[in-house]
Amino acid sequence: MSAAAWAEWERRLGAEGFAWDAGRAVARPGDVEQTAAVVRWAGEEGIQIRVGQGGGNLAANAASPAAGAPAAANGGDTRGNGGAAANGAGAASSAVAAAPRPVLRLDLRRMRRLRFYEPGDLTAGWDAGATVAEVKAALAAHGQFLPLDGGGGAATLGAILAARRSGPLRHGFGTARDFVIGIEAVTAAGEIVHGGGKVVKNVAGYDLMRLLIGSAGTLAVITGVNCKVFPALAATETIAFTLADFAAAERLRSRLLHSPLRLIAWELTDGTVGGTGTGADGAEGPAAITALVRFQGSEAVRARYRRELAAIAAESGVEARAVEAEAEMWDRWEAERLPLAMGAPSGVAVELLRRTAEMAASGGRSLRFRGRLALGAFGLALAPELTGDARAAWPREWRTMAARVHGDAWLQDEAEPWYAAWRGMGQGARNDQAQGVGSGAHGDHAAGGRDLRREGDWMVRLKRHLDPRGLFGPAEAGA
Amino acid sequence: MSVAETTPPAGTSRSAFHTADRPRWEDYSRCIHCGLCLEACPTFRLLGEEMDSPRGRIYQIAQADAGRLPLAGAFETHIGRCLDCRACQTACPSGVEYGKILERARAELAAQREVRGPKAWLANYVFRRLLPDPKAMARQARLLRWYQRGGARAVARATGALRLLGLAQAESLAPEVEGEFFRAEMGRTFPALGPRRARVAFLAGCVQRVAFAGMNRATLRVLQAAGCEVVIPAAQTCCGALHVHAGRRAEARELARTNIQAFAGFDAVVTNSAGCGSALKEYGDLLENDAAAEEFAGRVRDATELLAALGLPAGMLRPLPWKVTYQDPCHLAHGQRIRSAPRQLMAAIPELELVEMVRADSCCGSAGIYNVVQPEIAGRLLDEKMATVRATRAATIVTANPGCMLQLRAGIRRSGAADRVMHVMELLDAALEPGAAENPAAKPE
Amino acid sequence: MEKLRAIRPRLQALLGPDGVVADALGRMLYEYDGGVDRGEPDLVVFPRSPDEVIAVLRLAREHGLAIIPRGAGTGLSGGAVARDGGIILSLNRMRKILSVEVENQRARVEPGVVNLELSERISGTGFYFVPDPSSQKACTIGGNVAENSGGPHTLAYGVTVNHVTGLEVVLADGEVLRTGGMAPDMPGYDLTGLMVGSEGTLGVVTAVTVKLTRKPEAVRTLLAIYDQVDRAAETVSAITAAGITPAALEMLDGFTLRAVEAAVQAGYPLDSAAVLLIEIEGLQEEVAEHAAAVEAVCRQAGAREVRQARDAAERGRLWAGRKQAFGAMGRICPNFYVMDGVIPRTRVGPVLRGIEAIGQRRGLRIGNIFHAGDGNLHPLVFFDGRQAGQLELAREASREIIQLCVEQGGSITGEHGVGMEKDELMPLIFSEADLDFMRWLKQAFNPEGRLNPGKMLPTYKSCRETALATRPELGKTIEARI
Repeated sequence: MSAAAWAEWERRLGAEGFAWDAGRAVARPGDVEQTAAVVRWAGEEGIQIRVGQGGGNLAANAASPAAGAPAAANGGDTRGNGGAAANGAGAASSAVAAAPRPVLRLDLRRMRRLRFYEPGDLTAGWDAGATVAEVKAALAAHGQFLPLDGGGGAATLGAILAARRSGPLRHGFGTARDFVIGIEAVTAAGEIVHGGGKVVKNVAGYDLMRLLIGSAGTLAVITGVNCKVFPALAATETIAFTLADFAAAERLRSRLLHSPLRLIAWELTDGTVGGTGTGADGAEGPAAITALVRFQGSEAVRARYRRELAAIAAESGVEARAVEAEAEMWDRWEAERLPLAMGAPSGVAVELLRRTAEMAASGGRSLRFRGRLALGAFGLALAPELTGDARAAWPREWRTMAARVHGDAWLQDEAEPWYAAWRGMGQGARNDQAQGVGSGAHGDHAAGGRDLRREGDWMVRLKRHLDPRGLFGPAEAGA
Repeated sequence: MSVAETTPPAGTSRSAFHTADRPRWEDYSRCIHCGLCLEACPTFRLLGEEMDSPRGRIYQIAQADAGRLPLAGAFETHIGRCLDCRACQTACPSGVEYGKILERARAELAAQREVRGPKAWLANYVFRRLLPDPKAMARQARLLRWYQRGGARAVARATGALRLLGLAQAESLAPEVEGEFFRAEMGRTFPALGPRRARVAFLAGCVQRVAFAGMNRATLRVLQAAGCEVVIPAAQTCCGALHVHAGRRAEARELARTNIQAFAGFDAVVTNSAGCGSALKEYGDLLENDAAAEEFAGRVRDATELLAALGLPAGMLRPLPWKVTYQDPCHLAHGQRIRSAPRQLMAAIPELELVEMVRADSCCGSAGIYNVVQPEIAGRLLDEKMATVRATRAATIVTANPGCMLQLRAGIRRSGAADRVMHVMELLDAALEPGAAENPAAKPE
Repeated sequence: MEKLRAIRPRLQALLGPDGVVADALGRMLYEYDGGVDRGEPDLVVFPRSPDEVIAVLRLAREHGLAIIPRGAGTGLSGGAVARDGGIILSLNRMRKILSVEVENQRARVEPGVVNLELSERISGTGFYFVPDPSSQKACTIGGNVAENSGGPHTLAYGVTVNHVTGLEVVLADGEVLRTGGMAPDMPGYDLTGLMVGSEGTLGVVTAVTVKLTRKPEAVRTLLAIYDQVDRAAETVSAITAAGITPAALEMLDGFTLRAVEAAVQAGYPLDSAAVLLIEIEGLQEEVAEHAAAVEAVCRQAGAREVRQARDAAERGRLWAGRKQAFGAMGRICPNFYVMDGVIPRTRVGPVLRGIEAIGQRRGLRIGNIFHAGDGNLHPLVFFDGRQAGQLELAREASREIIQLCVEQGGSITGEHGVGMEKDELMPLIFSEADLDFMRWLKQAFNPEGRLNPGKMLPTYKSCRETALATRPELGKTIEARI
């Protein structure tokens, strides 16, 4: 598209609302009406829109920006490496290559208004461009908080929601899908639509919050959210268990699962990720598989946790120690972005990690991981990283391996096109039928020869239905 | 914004009900069709259809009263399939007295239905002659005893004679008639052992007299051991429960009046049959606006209820190291809301182990004469019941109603799920300390 | 009717004689659910397996008939009622618990499994299924999914959608879609979350993967007694402000609690103006501290008395009053609306006063019983159904109350669903653009509008859907807008 054509955009949006950034056109609407207008104009002119907050990738747990790093050039895009993965050789490259359409980036950071806040009702609403730091500050003033620990303070709410990013506190408080109670978005038709409302319990209409959170900006542009917020954490403590191997990790997981303790975070790492990167809690020494559990409460309550955890450690023959300066450690916890994300039913996740480590070792690499032990969701990295064809082949190999462990296990590689993980999903179910492997959750109920539509295919179909002209991100997905 | 809506006013000319015993709007309109009764209902759990649920039956009755449904056909089928077990009454948050509504609908059906042929003859014979008349009952029982002991049973089965009489399934359920009928005891008084703590009258029961004489005697011994003077009025008759279930309310009223007279003047009227007890306690509803009936109903006690309230004297029971499971009779648990009394009494037996079965208060399929008139559904309920009994690994099923005992015995014969079925009174009797167990000479009333 | 004559023998051949109900009485018995709405279906079918559900949906597509999925029929918004004929698909014979995987904290069940039955079956494991609607003894998990059911304990643990991780759904054309699964955070769009609460308009659920939750170590139940309703209302926000999230926080007003007490003997004092029923769960130490803190907050806010249940039996009694409240009200007066609206928790006091004013203006008695902790009101509007015009009066009052909730920043339903009861109220909280987007979303899954027609989205638009089914060229107009 010619510079002259973009000049028309500049005229429409004004100096504040339009910018050139490293040779890319960026729209910076000041409110939701302007956002809707941008989407309508883009639709009329056949321009594709990339919402700043990540547009390309659906990383669930892996991606996170370096704390305090300058905001990426394209605004709401909070991924550590800026827009490189989205526009460069990574995520969306295939889509971009297939669609030589002009691209307009949409940066919502001018929209950062606190829309309402009712401390007595534990509810608040913001524009999507509000940053985590701003949200935290507003809530802290009233002794409240949101468990937005999946990204640094510069991340915008919109970015967190689009990628459905979450951190360790997800264990105790859930993801955005659990605490967002209302949403405002601009559809591909340029209409402003709402779902939910301002109250914590509400079943009127379809759950647009669930649909749009985690949709990576591919269905609509999230412009505002209402949240249920939480009373601030009480005094917290963290205990680290040093584990000899995966078997010990699994034993600890099962033991804790059956205890009445109500932890707010419950992590497992290979010891190289988290904290400063030298050890789980920043301590010197060789990296080892480490589980970290965090709990809150009064001194009496925490004493109970300490007692129980010490007993469990003694009974399991593992070393447990209190982590010093744990709040600071947790602040750093998600600082390093891991390129892969995996999930598996909690009871098989550790076994799957073990096999993944084996798979990595057979290729001469070590597996680094960090994630939610009780839930079975982890970020992964190979050291050293794979590149080229080997990198492209690895997720496929992993999915074949994992399908034998459990049909519902999934993997996302941010280097893959954004829809690849969807396609990878349901492979287990397919394998059930092809190989007679019954480990998939669907195995026992499945009748053979059904007209079985894979969920990934349906997501593509829904994408085309809601955005038939491929306005948001690469519409060619799955074509 | 949902509503417990109005039902068209009853008693319009369009109503399908015509008699004075019609189901009453005041009763059925209390149902807000919330559906909380559904899972409590054995026929709904089995058949999974609204038509065979308490809510659905009440709705049918309401619609019939509003003139939207005729009584013939499907209505009769679904009303007929109800066990009248009252489990829905326990589940109902609105306090709907379902039994009343159902029994009145059945009365309407009975009044409007003209049945001819051998079945009707048999029904008339059973309800009008057999049940109210101990002598006729004894005659039949002797016949049955002969039949049970002799080869005639095989012959009759083979020829299908029983089927002709509509008793084919009933045959396997017929009580094993016991050696000596409960006849000599009628009209006599049995003294309390030790200090007298109560003076009660005992309902001997029409079926119990010939088929459960041993159980009646066990009940007497236990009552006496617990300090009760027990009188057995000779003028008593059948309680009328089976008549009410079958919608024969006029006949039931006559029986009720006889009993109210026969049992006048006692602290309590005691029965060991949950079905009879339930019917006796509902005389007030049967004989509407009758003060004597209300007063009578207030004195009726199930034997377990009486004993649990009275408390057992120390040292009355010796250890019985058995493993038992308890089936709540519907007409005790749901009809009379008595659940803890029998359990308390069992707990008083040293070393006895009570293993609760799942859904102990769900109907076994006996339900009065249900197992005779709805054999298929009754059989399926019984199979489920036996499976839960088996899971307890108890050798003895304890219950508190003769009808349930017959059904459960048929169940264990068929499935081998347990070794025997006993009444709570029989269990207590087995645990009586020697000396307390003898039946001292009775004196005439 | 031609269609029905043609499909009936085919359904009977498929499902057997006891799998199809077509007689007048049977159809009449499926014209209601737990609520007010009525509508007689043309047929009722009872599949026993997913394959039978698929076959029924294919036949229905072929013959162009509507499908209305139904669980136990305990819903309160007409969700399982055939608004305009069609086939009721009763799923209550599909009641197998397919798997229980405690280590994965998941169970997989068929839709007809009764809510409480699942928790009872796994009680030995120390885990349970959290959602606890008052109808939990009878309602099915499939129905919970369709309506996104709540219950008293959703305050701390969330509603059904927070406890469902995967579904097997049969779509309008008989296609099977499996969403989510046993793993957490599965990538892509949250189709599971979209399906939950879609009131049977997007597909028929044939299997549900649910989360199992560890039972709390300790539970304590408190009863706070008030002489003034306002004080009870203030306590609700005071507890929130104190940073304590009880597992449940319920409120009954004086009129309601007296009726309940007469029926259930829960131990609510008859001379009080309101009671709060507060439950706290967690570790022993935590529960003790929070109970003490809550008690202090209640007293400070003006509670006359605060009682703590001493044992499980007393706790059960206190809860029996709440769980059986609606039924107990039926003892006083069989005709009443059970309403469902939501308000911000800070507005409980003003809204209760507003409701009282509405009742006085219209000469109707209104009782209040609700999940105060999350602002979910259930006003009961009493009327005498035998008097002409009373029903309409009650309906008008109810509408006014909903309007009041919306004005205070609330919603038209917190847990009963929209169904056919409140579809016309949807414009109170959603714009035409919002509703159009939802309609378009529905089109993706249910293009012919044959799945539970006339529910959730206002019906005046459903004529357009019907028009689309017969004149697809109209669809292009809509598509062009998107």
